Amino acid sequence: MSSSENARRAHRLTKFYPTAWRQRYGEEFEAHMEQDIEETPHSLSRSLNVMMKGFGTHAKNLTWRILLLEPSQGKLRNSRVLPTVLVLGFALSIALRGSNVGTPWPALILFGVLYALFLFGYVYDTRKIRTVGPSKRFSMDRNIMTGIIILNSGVILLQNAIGHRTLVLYTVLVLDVVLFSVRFGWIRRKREPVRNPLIPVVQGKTKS
Amino acid sequence: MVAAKEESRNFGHNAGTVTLILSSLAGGEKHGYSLVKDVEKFAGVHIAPGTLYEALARLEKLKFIEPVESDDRRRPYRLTANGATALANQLRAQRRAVNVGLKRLDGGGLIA
Repeated sequence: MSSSENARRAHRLTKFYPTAWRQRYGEEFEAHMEQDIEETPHSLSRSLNVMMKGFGTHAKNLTWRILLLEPSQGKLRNSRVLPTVLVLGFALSIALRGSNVGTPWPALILFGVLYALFLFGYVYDTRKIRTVGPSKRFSMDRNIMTGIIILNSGVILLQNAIGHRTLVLYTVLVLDVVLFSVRFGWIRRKREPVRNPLIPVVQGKTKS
Repeated sequence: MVAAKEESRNFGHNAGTVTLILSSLAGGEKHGYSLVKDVEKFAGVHIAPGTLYEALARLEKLKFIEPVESDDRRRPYRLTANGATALANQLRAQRRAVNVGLKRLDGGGLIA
């Protein structure tokens, strides 16, 4: 196999990683992959490994971006949050189609997973960066997010009691989209600078 | 002991891979491919590219390793003082576990 073909294949596999990761590690990773491909031209386990780790890196990036409030990145966050909410909503609707109506488990599991994910982002990173404490608006946003999660779980519980599963699920989905849009619209309207306690301040400026 | 536990937690779910990478870098700076070859030579374990770079990114973030300036596309890494300390503690902890395991096997007459 020619070296240009190896380079092409290495480049294709590197594309499984997010842009930010590729900017930092892309060149050396491609060089490494080219050598690896030269030694073992065909390896399914290598391709799967790169794909899985690439998706894992995407998932980590996405989680941090969604869970951390950064008003200056409102547009970027909107573009990521909306599809994520939609995908989660549809995945949930599919998952609940097979569940047993009348049990509270779907709602409780949903609540547990969403809240754990949400708290992980705030608490873990806050502790890690060791900031002095969240701002007023940051706390408010955290509370709104908690409210949305509780509302989601509550509506699913209600669905267990009243039936109309599909209707209720899509109502929740629409409600989520509206709530998230209002939330980000509100953040964008407030133009005064807000310091995100999770982003370290460097020489009086917020490091993005 | 608490510091050792904290360091051990830093090694994450890929503790085995991380220990192998740090052990390899303890022998001098290396780029990704030569690191993989070195690990294969001394441990008989192949580290896949995705796993390697996941671990390298994590170790760099923890300041256990640092990249070395290079004109080559393949960037070498070297072990930092923090990394050396963490590796030493991890290896000591593993040695304690190995010693206890071997002693118990020996005492129970399970091995010849």
